[in-house]
Amino acid sequence: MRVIYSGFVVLGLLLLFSPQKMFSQNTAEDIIKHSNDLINQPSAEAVVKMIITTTSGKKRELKYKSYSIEKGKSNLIKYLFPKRVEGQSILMLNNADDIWVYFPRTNRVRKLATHAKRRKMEGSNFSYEDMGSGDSWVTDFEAKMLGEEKLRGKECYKIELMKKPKIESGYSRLIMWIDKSSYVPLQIDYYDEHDPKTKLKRLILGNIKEIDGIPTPMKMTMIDVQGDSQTEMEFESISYNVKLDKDMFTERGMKK
Amino acid sequence: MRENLLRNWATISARHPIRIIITVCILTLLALLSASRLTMTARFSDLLPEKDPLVKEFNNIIKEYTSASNTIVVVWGDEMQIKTFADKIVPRIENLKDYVKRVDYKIDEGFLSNHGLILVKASDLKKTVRIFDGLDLLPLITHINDNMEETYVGNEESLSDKEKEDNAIRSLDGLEFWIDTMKLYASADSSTDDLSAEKAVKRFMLGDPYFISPDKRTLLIFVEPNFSALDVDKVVASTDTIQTIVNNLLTHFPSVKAGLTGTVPLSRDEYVYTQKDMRITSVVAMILVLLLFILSFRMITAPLLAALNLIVSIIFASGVIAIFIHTLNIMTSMFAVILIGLGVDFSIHIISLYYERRALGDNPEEAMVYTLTRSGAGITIGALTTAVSFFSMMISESRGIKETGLVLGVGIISVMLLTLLLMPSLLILRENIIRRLGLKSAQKPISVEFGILGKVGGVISHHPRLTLSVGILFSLFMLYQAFHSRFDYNYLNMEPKGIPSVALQDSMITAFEMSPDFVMITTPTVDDARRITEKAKEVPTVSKVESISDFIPSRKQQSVRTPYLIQVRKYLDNNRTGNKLRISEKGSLISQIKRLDDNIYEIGQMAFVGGQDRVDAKCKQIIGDPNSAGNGDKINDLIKVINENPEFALRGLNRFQKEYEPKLFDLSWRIADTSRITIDKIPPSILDRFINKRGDRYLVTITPKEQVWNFEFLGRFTEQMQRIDKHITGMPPIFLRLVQVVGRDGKLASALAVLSVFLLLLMDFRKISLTLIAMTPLILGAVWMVGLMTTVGLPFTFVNVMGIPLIIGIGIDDGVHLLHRYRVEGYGKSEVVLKSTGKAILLTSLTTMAGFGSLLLAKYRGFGSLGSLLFLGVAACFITTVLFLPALVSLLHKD
Repeated sequence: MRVIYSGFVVLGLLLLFSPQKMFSQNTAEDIIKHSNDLINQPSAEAVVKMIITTTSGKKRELKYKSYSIEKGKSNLIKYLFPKRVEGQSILMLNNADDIWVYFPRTNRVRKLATHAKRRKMEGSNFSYEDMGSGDSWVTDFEAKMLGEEKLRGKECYKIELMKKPKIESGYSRLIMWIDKSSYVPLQIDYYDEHDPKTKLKRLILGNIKEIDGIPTPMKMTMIDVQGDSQTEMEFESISYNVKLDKDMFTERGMKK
Repeated sequence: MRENLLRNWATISARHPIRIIITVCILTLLALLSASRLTMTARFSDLLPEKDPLVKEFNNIIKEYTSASNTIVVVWGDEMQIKTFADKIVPRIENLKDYVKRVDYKIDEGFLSNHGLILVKASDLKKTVRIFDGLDLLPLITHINDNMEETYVGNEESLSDKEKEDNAIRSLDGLEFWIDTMKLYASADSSTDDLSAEKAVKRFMLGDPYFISPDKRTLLIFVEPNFSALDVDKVVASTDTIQTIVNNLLTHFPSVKAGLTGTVPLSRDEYVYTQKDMRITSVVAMILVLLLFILSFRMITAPLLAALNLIVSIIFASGVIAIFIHTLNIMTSMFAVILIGLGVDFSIHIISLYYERRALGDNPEEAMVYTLTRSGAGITIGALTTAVSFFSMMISESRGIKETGLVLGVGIISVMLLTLLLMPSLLILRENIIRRLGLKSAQKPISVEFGILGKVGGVISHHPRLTLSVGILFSLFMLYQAFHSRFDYNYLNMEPKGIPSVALQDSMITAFEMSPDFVMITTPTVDDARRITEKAKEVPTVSKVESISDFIPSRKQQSVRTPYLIQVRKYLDNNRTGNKLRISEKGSLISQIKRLDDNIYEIGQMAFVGGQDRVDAKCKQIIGDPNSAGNGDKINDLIKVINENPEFALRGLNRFQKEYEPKLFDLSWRIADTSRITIDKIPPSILDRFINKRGDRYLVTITPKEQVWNFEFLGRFTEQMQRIDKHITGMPPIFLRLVQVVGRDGKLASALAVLSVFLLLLMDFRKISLTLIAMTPLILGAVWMVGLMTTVGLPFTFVNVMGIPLIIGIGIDDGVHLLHRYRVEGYGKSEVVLKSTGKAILLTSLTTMAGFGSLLLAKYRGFGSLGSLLFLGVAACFITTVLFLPALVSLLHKD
């Protein structure tokens, strides 16, 4: 749950790269490498609305504010809505390897399990890894251009990322559709860790807006194609390269 | 030759009607004898070929494991009331020795009490063992808190799937009971129930023994039959008997509600409603057809004779059908209604022409000879055309469609033969009786004139291009609509509406996140069962997996777990102190109880954000709604009780400790038994559910989370199951296969029917242009039918899709009759043709529609969907025939 939010800050940063900066040789490696380089921006701040499907099939809306520094390595999420979770916060350090949660009513900070990278972020169909853990797309996967395809009316690069041997990841491969004009990923398919033929999830990114000159998908929907649920996330606001105090990303900062 | 045969038969009928009738009576008795062998099945698995691997496996499991069939008594109401209801009703149901093998409504405490901990995963045991390090109240609560913080608050994955959620709820439930009991002792003097401490221990260690929903409002009782679900008589009798017992007991529990569902009651309802539908719709179809006949011809006796002929024909057809098949399925069970709608046409032709000739002065013999020689050929050709298109359905792989083709094909020929055999004799006998009684002589029937049809024919033939343009435009609209038709894959929408066995399925899913439509597989070893169980538990659409491996961990698993059990016993040995709580420890006790409150609150918060509603609801039951802090918090209430009168409360709690400690010690010691579990240690009450009669295969059942009749979910769930093992069977994969097979066969049978009809017409007309003209209204009629279905919101279903090839056989008749008449009257005589033959095809269409329309009265909604499709199809084919055929003929004639 906590990391979810760090996640899409990271994703937002992923979208920082602007088309004019793109390289002339658009090989799969180039596109992924330079995307990855652009992902890692110094800081971001966003207000996010998330809609989850509960186990009894109901929709639940949650809203939180997320802060990110050190190129997405440290993230803090503070719930705003509903009232019941207002003030509850989640701190993720070291690319979400270390996670803490704070409950205002009990005034307790709990350290959660470490190495949660592959786990589902609570209540959502996102795992921490889905939102891009550092430069893993470049270091952990082999990129291959599958071709060009039109998706939702936009010309896209279709790129396959195959997991390199001995790498730990929740997925054996990803297939990404990246808009040729804005270089924003419009869709990502995630495949089973042990079976590259079995699709687990699909992330759909839409409602792309220019924020601080950066094309940003304001809406993301993760669909679990094996289960029967989906999670929607929507940026209500986002700012990049904001000045954030490092003290925020501590136990004390969680309680503020 | 055909004409001579018919002439000779007409003469014999006229001269020896009584002998013929007696012969027919004997034939009918023989047919009745033959038909009595016909049985019925309402299972949709019987619509697939018996040799289909899925069906074969399914039938084997149903035969070998009575646990694969069940009756589920769903009880809902107040917790105490429904538990008492269950305690009272179970012995009564168990007494039904003729039907019931066993009844389950509580967990098997015996086995769990002696071996429970070795069934727990090593990772969970690791966190749990500390709980046994001191059974006194204070250390116990402290260790429970440690465990909760490590298991739930500190691990977001602890609630990540249904099994983990269930475990969390069970733990919280035990804890809730423990807190309630603490409060009871803390606030009571010495009047607590002797069993309170024992109950609290059991609930804490083993959970609520009843199969009850987390909100404690719904309880399930599983009744395992001692017969196979294939035994229809016992299916019906057992369900009715259990329902009576439930109804009787409900009178003593006014606030409790209960109903039956599960495979056995569902089969019972399908069977009973199908049979009832067969009877009701047949009678209604017969009455409607008769009324139409009487209204059209303004006669009474002759239509009654036609009805008698029809009844005898259907009996005869049933007898002939029974030679070929012994069991009617969901699709073929409605053959009588369809034959009534179609078969009456033969009588209409005979009666109509016979009385025309009698009115013209022919004597009975002359009139009958004329009638049979003129209409006999049309009747036989018409019946054969329809039969051929029905028989073309036999190419199908699906038993449902194949047998429908066979039954209706054989049926229509039987009805035609019987009508030619009996109807002439009945008419002659009637005349003989009238003559002998000296009553009025036969007159020409006064049929209702359809002059309007003649006028329509006139207009169309004068404006063929305009008619065709309008018709084509409308057909294009219908085609557009047809492309938007939808298929309703929800099998439950075929079932009778509002019956409890169907409605309760939804209640079960809501209360337990568990659909009663499970899949099954058998394995030769326990290890194989375990492999499949573990794989299935990983699947996100699975709610519950049950197998013998739940009770027999692998050798390796037992080895890994044993050290933890040894540690539990060490803790127990070292901590048999029984120290009383001192007043100085009140602060520590309250602090730990408050910590418990915090932990449960935090679990609830994590569950809320994580969307685990049932865990959240359970937490709310214990600590109240976090949105209104303080209200309904049982833990805070306990703290208040202790603070109000600490000495009194601690005295009570010490009494509680004294009473529960030996029991908790004893149960903990037993539950941590380290001896290896092997198959011979499993009690029959558990083993019998999983092992077959030969003792060589083990059953694994996998229950989905959701209603499987959502087709998208059904497809995904079935694919996931097939990936685990391709031999997995059950209603969900069988239904998916059925939909696929019926869809494919429906197209194939329809194409073959069109081809057969085309070839037959080509042989008849010997001209490709006439054949194409005759086919045009049929093709357009089919398009209109599908377009109209979309327009009125009627979807295709796996039952009514079979109606398409039927419509091809039925809908072609109108065009054939009109074209034949055109050939006699001349191609420019649309007015005459439509006035005369148009009337006949209108009447036959109406009688057919009346027959099919009666299916709308069926409780089984699958029949209703078939009736609607056929009703629209016959109407559409009639209109397209009257509209397009005269226009096309007119153009052809002009050319």
